[in-house]
Amino acid sequence: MPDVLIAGVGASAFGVSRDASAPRDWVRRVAREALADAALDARDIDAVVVASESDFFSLQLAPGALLADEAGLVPAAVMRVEMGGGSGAAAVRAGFMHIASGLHRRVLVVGFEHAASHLAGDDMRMLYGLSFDADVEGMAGASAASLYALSMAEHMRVFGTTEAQLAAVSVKNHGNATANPLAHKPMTITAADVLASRAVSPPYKLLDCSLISDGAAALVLVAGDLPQERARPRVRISGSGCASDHVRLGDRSEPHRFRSKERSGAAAYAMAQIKEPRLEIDVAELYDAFTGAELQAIEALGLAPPGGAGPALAAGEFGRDSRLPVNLSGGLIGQGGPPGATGVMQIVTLTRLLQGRYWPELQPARVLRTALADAHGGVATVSITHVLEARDD
Amino acid sequence: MTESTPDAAPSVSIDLRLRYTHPLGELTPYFAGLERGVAMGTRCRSCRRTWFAPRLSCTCGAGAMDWVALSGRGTVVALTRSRTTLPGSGVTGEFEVALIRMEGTDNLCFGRLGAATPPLVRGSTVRLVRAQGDWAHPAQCAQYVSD
Repeated sequence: MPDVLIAGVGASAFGVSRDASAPRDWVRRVAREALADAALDARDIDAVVVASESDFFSLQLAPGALLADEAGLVPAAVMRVEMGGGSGAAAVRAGFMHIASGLHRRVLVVGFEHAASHLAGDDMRMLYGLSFDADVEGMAGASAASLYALSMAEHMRVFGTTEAQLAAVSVKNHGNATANPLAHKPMTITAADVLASRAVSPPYKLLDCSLISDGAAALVLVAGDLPQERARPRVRISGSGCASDHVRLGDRSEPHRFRSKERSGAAAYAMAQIKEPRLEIDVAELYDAFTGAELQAIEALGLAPPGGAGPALAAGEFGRDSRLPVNLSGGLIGQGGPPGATGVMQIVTLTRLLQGRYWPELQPARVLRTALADAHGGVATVSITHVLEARDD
Repeated sequence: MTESTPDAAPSVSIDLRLRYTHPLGELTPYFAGLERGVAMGTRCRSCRRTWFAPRLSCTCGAGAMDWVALSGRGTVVALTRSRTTLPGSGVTGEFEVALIRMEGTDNLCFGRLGAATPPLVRGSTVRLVRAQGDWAHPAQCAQYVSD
């Protein structure tokens, strides 16, 4: 199997688009940026993977072909990938598979979503409620917030996780976002601010929730035997995993536990030959749809024992200056979350971190070798995990 | 975004209405039960586990399931409150929702709770009723009230 290298990256700001630009503009720009970063031309690309969560959001069915055309990538092969909030991560995995299988040599992966400024908030909440089991639960009044909240309520009951520990995630991620010029919601806040924010779906309050954003991000993946830019460390995808769980929380024996993520993480770690993730991972971007989801992800991915993420994070682990920073970008809570772009942006962030060219205030002084990206659709119904490795050769 | 668009046209407002003819498939007995305030679950012929909300294939891997009528009573396991819109019904508001373990089942169901004094909490016993209203989807008929 050939190595799969990340040759170039590009990203828009995440936020609420107010300049009347459209997703085709964002995709065209980030694709050009990623190609320039890889020192490649559009004609070098032989396959394109496009991620977006919902045509209800974009009002563009079959966006893959249109956006590939917009980016000047005809006649490349095109595939559109959807996996809820994990759509971007699934597209990265599809791009990885394109090259690992030997089918293609240079692949552009691009994710986008027009999710913040296109539809009214109540319409977005209603549509998101249909992204779980639409007939059985969505039609009955389930929302993303309520399902995540029910999962977290069980986590709190089982482990004693506290609202103050949830607030610590919000403080960290909003704070990290203050040094990220592409972030949607940079904020310097305290745990008291989070605890005082209005209830959205208890235990979650407004500042526990991630942001639905507009935005796009792109990667160029290439086969490892192709000539590479050598001025910076090469970054390869050393592990890729994906696994699923029952869609309905009530069909899971432990609704507080992200078992799909345990499995996808284990698969990615096995491929990357990671045996002690807590010791071997240097930096991670995890899917913090809500503050508690970050804690659940940290535990599922073996970065803390079950029930141990909340106390550890509140004590400073996983912070900007810790041994294993989580969501230096600000994550979905601080940087924002255009679902199709989120998983791609995680890889953009980690590639820049591994190459020592992330935002100066957020770039750790020490050399980073191994990075972890994880996203999911549903309430961790389908998880997609990647391990990245920096190489100097 | 990354660049400004100086000559951009202003955004336009588009109001779309979509009408679906939406089949309920082999879950029809479940939804028909909800319309009558009756809990219809499924039971696996192989492992005998019982599911409400019903599953049409069991987690044990067996495919053969039978429909069973349940008591309609259950216990609240976890609950929260959230703003949402009931699709097609034009109803938007704050709803109290829960994971509920129904008597005789091996899973939990998601359900909308009715108002109660004192408020329902974890451990409260509830029963399924048909909620009053003109609902667009039979799932919206289901409400769990203090028993």
